[in-house]
Amino acid sequence: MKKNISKLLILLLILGGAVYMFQTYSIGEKLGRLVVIMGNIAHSLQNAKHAYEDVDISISDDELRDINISKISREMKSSLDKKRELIAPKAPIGIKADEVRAEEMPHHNKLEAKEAKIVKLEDLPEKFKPLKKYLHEPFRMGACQICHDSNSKNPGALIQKEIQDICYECHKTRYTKEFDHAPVKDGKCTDCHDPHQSNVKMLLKSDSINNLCMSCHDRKSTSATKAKKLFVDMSLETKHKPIVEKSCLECHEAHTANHKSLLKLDAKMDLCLNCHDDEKEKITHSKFKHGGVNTSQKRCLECHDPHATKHKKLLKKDPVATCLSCHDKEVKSDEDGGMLMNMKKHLDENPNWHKPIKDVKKEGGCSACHDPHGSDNFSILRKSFTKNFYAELENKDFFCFKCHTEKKITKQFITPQENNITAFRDGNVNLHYLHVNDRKGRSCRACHDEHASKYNHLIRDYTDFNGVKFPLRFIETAEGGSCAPACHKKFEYDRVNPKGISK
Amino acid sequence: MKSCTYKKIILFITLFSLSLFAGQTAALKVVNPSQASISEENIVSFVVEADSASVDSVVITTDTNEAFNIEINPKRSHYCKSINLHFGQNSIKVVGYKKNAVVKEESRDVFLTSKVDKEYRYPPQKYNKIYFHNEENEKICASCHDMKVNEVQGIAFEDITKSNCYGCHKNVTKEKHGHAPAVNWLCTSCHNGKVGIYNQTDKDKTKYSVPDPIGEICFSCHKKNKEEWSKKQFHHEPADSGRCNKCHNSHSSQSEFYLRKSAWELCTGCHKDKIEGMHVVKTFGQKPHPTYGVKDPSRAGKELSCISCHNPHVSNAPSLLQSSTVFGLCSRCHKK
Repeated sequence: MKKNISKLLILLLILGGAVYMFQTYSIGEKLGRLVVIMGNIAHSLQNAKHAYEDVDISISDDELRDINISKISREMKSSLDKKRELIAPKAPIGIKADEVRAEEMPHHNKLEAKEAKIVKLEDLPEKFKPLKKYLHEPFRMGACQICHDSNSKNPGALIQKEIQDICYECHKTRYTKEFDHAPVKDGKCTDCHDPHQSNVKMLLKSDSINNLCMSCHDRKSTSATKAKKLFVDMSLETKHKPIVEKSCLECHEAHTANHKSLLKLDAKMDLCLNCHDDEKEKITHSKFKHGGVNTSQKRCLECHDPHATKHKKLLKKDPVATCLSCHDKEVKSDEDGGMLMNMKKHLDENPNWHKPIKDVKKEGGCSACHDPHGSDNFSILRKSFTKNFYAELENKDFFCFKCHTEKKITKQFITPQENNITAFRDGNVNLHYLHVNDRKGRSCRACHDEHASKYNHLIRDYTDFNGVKFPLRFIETAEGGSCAPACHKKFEYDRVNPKGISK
Repeated sequence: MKSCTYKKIILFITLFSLSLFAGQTAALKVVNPSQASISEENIVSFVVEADSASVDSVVITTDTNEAFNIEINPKRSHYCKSINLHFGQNSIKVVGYKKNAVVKEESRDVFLTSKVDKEYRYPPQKYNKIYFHNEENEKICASCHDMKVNEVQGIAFEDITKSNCYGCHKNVTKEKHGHAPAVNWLCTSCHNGKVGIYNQTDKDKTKYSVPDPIGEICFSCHKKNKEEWSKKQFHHEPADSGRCNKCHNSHSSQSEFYLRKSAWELCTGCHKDKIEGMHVVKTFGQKPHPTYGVKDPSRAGKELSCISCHNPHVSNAPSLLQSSTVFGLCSRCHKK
């Protein structure tokens, strides 16, 4: 009897289990599907022979004639060309100044010279001795007659009144580009070149190219009232490398050029990026571009001086002052079309500044966080951050943690030894953790103003929540403080005598 | 000549008596609320007009025997007092005294409605809704109160007591959990004077009406909810029709999430069949699964309630369950 009951119980259990399994894992449904699949297989096996049929794809001769092949090929070509235009990079901008100069060099015909009266080197007047390194070819040959008159009343006089006419007699390449160097325009070749000999290439009248240029273009030598543009002060601390290491002619043409200021390429951008190709990548290809370089009038020269300045990176002004020269008003953002805040006003009104702005020399000013040439992060930040009010900050490579320790937000309780991690704590409870690492993490910017604030610790006066500005009402005490923002009512904290606001 | 002066004297006397009659203020008059009015907030402002010549003190007594004494002085004509209400009918007496003798007695019946309790949701027909903020009433108040809205759109008050609304309405935000726009006195962000499809009758009656349904205003801040909810399959009716304020008190509340009552009480207010009887599985011990009164393991520090298993707004599971599988639901608390 007992055995029977136990058997019955086991049977019931198995049955119950089967029903449960049947329900939870929906075996019925699966069985049904299996039946359908099997049916399909059987059906396809039965009808396999008729699965494929021949398809008629022949084209009649008449049809072929109607197709205008030449038209098709023309269309194809034009579309291909368009594609090629898109794919092919634009011709690189290289300066081939040396080639140009080579063409300009005249070849002297010695036979022509022989006909003239040759003056031997030892017979030259004393003022030409000792001879210098580079000699003008007619001078070296002793063919003084090419330029000077020997038959007239006063021997030694020039055969022509205008010097340029004599020069252009041999140097036949006329300077015909858009802008001419003033001495070239006036035909004063001998202002720069010595017609006989020099120790410097190109028969220059000075000991180097730069010194020759500076003999006229030094800002110090001229009165301040003259146009500033044409004069440079090369005595300043930071100098543009090409000028120091090579010469002015790295960027400028000596005689004539198609670009303003006798530049070899467009001064606003192309010329600079010809060398600075690392910035070129940023400026042209980054996701977020700085209007200051991309859409401004003077492009690179908006912030940089191409010759020499007092400031690092050849900036025209102090790093922060450079930025504020544009951001002293609300500026339209290229990023989203919104208006960027008047940063100068913000900094003027709020005395507590973020360290990189406050300690410009050590930290680098605005460009410590923003990349002025463009970036793939919003607000041209050098590293990523979040625009959202709520954000998970833990284990994310956010920008703030480049300088501020991540422990600030990850340690829930702080031992006395670690007190330097954060001052925002109630006893040993880390209130940063509570605000940032809890279920709803809040962005640093919810409470802190990353630029400047009236309050200590860069606490904001207003936090922006969905377009509404709520005051934080932060009050600091000796060992703590209190906040009464929109998020909660007035809560106090104290590092020494905890107020117990862990909940 | 004589008849002329006679006529003049009669004219003078009649004019004088008329002016006396007109100039004579009532000894005591309750300006607000009017008799048989409906209140939606648990506080009503009594505005009493009293003449110091005939009344020297006014006592307002509620039906719970709370009494408030107002001293009448000759410099003022109107006096205000906020009176707490309980749900249903409140009979409030206003009595004017002169040297401890009753001069005049008035009474007001005010019905406090509830958005949750069916008992108090529909007041008897004799009651009418109070519309306070109209030109006529505001003229009376303007002698003492600044009746203009001094709120800057989108910027909260640094000092909330500077808000012109604060003085009379401060009681609406006194509860433990305060809703940010309310406790920062950004009143006009909801009280925009517009009406919705459910409160067309309020149109043009008050300056600060709130549209019903209020949903769109809520979603202007709670954007994420709108996004997420629209993707879900099942919706709770009040949430779906945008009547958030049915369950939530948009000013302040004693309960979490600004609920008008604790979650369990709130739900069972409508779903009365769930109060008793067999809700959820019957276990071997013949006891049903508890729905309240024990700790909720899925929400640390909170008590078990309907919202432990049900999502009060939206869900992809039938019965608005928090999880679409039985295992997923139970394992929220019963871990291993």
